[in-house]
Amino acid sequence: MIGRVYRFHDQGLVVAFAQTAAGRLVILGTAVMLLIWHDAGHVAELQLQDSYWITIAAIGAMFLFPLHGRLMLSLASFCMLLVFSLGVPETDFSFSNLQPGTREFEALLRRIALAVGVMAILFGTFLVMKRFDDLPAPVRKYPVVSFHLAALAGLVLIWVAPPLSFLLHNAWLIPLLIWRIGYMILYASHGKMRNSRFRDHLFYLLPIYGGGNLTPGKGLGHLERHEAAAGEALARSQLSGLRLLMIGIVWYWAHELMQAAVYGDQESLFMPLLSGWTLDMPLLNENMADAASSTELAWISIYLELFRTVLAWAAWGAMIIGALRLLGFNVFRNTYKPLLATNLLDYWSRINYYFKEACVDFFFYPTFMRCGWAGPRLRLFIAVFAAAFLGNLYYHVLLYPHWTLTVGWAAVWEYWSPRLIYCFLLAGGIWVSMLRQQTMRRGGSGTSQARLIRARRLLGVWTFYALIHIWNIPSDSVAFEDRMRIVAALLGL
Amino acid sequence: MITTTSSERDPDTRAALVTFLGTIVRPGGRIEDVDDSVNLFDAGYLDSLAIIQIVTYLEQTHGLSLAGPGMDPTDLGTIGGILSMIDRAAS
Repeated sequence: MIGRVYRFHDQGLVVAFAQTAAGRLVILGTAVMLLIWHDAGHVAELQLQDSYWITIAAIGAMFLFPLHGRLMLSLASFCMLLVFSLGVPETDFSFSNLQPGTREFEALLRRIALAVGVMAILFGTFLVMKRFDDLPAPVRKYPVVSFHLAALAGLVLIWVAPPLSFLLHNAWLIPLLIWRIGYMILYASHGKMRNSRFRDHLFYLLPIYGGGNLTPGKGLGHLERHEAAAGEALARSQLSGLRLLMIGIVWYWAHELMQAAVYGDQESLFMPLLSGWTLDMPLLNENMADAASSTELAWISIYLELFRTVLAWAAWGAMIIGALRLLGFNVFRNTYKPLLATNLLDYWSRINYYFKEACVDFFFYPTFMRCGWAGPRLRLFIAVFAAAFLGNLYYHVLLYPHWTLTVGWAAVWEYWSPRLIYCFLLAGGIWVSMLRQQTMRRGGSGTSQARLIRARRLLGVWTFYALIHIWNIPSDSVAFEDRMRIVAALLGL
Repeated sequence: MITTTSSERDPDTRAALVTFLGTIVRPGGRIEDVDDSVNLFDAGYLDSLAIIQIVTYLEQTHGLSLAGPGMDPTDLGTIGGILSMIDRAAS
């Protein structure tokens, strides 16, 4: 019975009801309530998104005009850009002050210019990609690399040319758009662009379902393969979306409970319920020095941090993919039971699926395909390091372009050097894991489910990711000496 | 794009391909009866590790070169897509 309730989205009667007018209304009402709860419950804080009301409006519009889904989605994306660009009016803002020459008027013009500029970039790139076959041969051969070089050249130009330096404050758009535009370029390079319209692309270039700088759902190529336009497929997608939003709430509660009970976080919603009771453990992300005070505490702290990170990713991804499924794209979850992974590669796929996919799409595949000259192991090594080391590092360095260009290289090195170690260890671990998987499959031992072996593998995966996470924590919250101190504590030194 | 129908294809090539795919599917997966148009990645039979093994298989067994521009790894997601690629290389 509990199993049937848990998997309500698979029950034939429920799916049949979801296809009726009443069923669709129930889905819409429940979706709206869940998304409003997510907003009110501050789950959105985990999502880098201010509000879900545009998502709610888009879901409503798609229910009313199911035959114009892509148009509704793109209109919602355009509205989101307008709202985001115009911003929430400041408290002293009033339209009566909006006279030419005033500060408010200039601010409004800048924001309108930003919205127009973003649309111009996206539409211009779309038009260029429509004529992909006419591009110069080197660009056609390396389209994504060419685009990144052009974007970085533009960034350097506005950095060194004083008349353009005011644009530097909008450099945050680069990490937000560069990977999504990358997916549009991949789509064009696969020869699929000729018959597509701008509305087919705008909704994932400016996604109303969230995701920040990551690309949940990837691009049009992936989304249209998982698109459930109508009937039973749409009902199943929307029901699984509802379920995922509910799961997101449960993970969010678990995360908040852990914050209160384990770390004594005063801002946790469970803190008042616990009447101040807490284990008061040091949070590795903020207080690594305290966690290094004994070997036992160090080990407990790194495992707890692993579980906390998994809960945060699970809550974050469930909301985004839940919203995507409600919009009719029945895509894979971003985080799916990573703590049950029995090898390093599997954990990397399960914890943050769409980040891994971006690393694979933009770095692994292109490198692997071009390294046919290398032996199998070397070829795999080069491709894995291109993705998990180089691509991973590049993705993160690109997150703060304005900061990177203005603070100086010494500060940039100090901030990112720990991540260099993290990416190196991650790539090495994944490479070894891939080789082991290949060997095990050839040997036919891939299905071994012996409990003891499985438990040992689980613990091995947890330990590896808990250990390398020490080098994944940003440098503005933890010093290099503290990282070395906890490594020493873990070793009992 | 799939340009050849299943009935026109060399059954030995298909059988050999299915046998090979059977060695790299996820534990518990059986693809012997899967339709040629089913995407094996979307259906959960294969993971991203498998695609590199498919590429290696095509390069070593059929002498295909997949390094050129325009190659979409998702084309390797269906039995039909892989067979079409082999057909194109052979012709």
